[in-house]
Amino acid sequence: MSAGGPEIVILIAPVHDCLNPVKIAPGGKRIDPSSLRWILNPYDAFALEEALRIRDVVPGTRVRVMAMASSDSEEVVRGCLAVGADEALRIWDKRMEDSDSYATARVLAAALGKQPFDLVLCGWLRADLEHGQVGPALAEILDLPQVTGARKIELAEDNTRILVHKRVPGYLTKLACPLPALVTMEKGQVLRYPSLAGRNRAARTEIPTLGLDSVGLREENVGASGSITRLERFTPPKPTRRSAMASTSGRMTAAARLQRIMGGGVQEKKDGKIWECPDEPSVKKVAEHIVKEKMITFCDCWAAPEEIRCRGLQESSFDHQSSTPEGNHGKVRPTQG
Amino acid sequence: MKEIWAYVEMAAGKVLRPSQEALSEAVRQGGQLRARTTALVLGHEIPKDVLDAVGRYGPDRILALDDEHLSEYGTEPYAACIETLLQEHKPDAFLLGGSVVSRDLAPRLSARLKSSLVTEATFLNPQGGRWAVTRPAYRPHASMIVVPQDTGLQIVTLAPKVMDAEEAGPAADGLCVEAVEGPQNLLDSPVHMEERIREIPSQLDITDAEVIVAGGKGMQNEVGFALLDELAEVVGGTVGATRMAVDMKWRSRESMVGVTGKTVSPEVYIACGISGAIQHVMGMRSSRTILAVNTDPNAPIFRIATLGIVGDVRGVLPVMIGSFRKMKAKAGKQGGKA
Repeated sequence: MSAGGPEIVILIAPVHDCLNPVKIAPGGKRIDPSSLRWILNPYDAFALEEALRIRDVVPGTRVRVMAMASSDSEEVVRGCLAVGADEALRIWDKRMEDSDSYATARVLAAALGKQPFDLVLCGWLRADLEHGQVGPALAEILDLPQVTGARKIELAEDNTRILVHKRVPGYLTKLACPLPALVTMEKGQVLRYPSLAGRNRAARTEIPTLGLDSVGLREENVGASGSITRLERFTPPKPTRRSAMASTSGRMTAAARLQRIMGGGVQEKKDGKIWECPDEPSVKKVAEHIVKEKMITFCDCWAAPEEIRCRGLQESSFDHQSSTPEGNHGKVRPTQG
Repeated sequence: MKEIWAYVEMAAGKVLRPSQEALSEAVRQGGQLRARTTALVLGHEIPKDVLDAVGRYGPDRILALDDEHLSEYGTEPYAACIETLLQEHKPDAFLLGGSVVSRDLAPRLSARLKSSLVTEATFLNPQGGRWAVTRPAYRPHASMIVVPQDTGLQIVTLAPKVMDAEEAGPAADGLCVEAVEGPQNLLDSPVHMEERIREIPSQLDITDAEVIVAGGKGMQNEVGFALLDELAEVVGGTVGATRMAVDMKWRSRESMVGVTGKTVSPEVYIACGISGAIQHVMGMRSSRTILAVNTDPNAPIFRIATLGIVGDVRGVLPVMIGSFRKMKAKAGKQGGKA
């Protein structure tokens, strides 16, 4: 650790905004660039904010941003300077294109190895491709302890370790991890808004770029040749199977029909039954029915009972109790032609 | 492929759901490819129940590594043990379920062994001695098919809740549990748990829950939502909420089900005071059983419900919770006698 505070390096990834439709380019190996817009990976934004918060309370902390990113996404890196990162560094070489997660981790590790750092922070996965591999792979290459899926980071008072909030099934836990270390963020605080001064400063800053040789790697270490996986192709998602839609009844008013369509259409499960429960005994009766039919069981584990699984597939296995009203509100009868 | 391994994660004496899926898929693939399937269990004082449960999914053998350093998950000791075993036995593939642990462990192992890893797999297509793996990309606009560069060990983590978890029946008679050993001088994890800050209410994230009790506008206020906590406790479920309930700050955003929230497919979904707007229904319609309580008999939720109850939640729920409690107590007693 330097004299003042910790040196924090944030690994950021410009990612593609998936809110807009994405087009697959002919051949299936690439995405049509015209359908893409670069944004900061939202999980990396949590990491950046976490680092800035540490700097807010620990004087002397330095926050540096590093990205393996082509020049067309440089603005995303610049945005990190605008919100307050002390330095930014971009690593790119045409030969790094088509690097998989492992090759990417190797490039970042090589660049990191040349600088001092106490804590490496990044998002737990990139929001567009969701690999979630670079963080732990980089920790492995640099032989750092890791905590993945963090929600909050505190610097312990002795400055030699961090306390990381992480969710594990059932609990929110606090883990202690010695520095230097790598932490990936799953959730966190919303990234602060850039100030005008920050933006001006960022706009004037030249972001240094390291090439392949400057990080000390060779062509066979990066791109497709340095990767351990290969993208065969992108495919459009399978069309989701639509259940048959019955037409709304012609006897309904236009308004009612519209309401029904807007409210979820007229799909229905065939065994659907409606019970009117105006009073206590009727509720008790339906509660007993639910348990008797094993819709709810009180066993410890839900995975086992096979019969429950089958139940959802059976059609009207209900035995009709005399107290059950006949009306099946969901049913839409086809009009006779 | 000749040998497929599946990683088994356990908690509280049970095989966790993601591991059930990984085991099942390994057995299915093993059957198709005539490969031997091996279940790998790591831990300390591994309960016999877990090994029995693993056997029911139909692996050809179980490798169990029992070590005091493995009583709690830690990246380093677990990765070191698995690394040793993978290098010693040289399986062709290693499958893990999609979980907090596999997200931490698999990429670390992959980088250590320089073995290809594909995460979030939704489909495994055997092709020339390895899998071409389908996984999401630019969700929901595309998916991608990824293959390993070489024919060495292929590591795959599955997307949760995509593959079926099916027990194959009672374990085969000849099924043996082999005790194996990790590396010498296994060290404790450099990362250790300092404290449990708090229990996350209702135990599970809604996307993991088998039972979800969800509330909407009809719950009227936080007090109404407290009823759902009670019901969730009785039926062993997790509380979910509609966007409306989240906007009213009755629940945190994490429990939101629907288009802008999470998509869930539990065994049982109990919708309370939820009318069933399409934005909500999109997030829960693949639930296996849907129980709905609503005052309006024409509410669209009833159209997808397995069973609907027309009535006011504030009247219906307390009675229902009471009834369930009684029946649960009774079931518990009977279970004790048997």
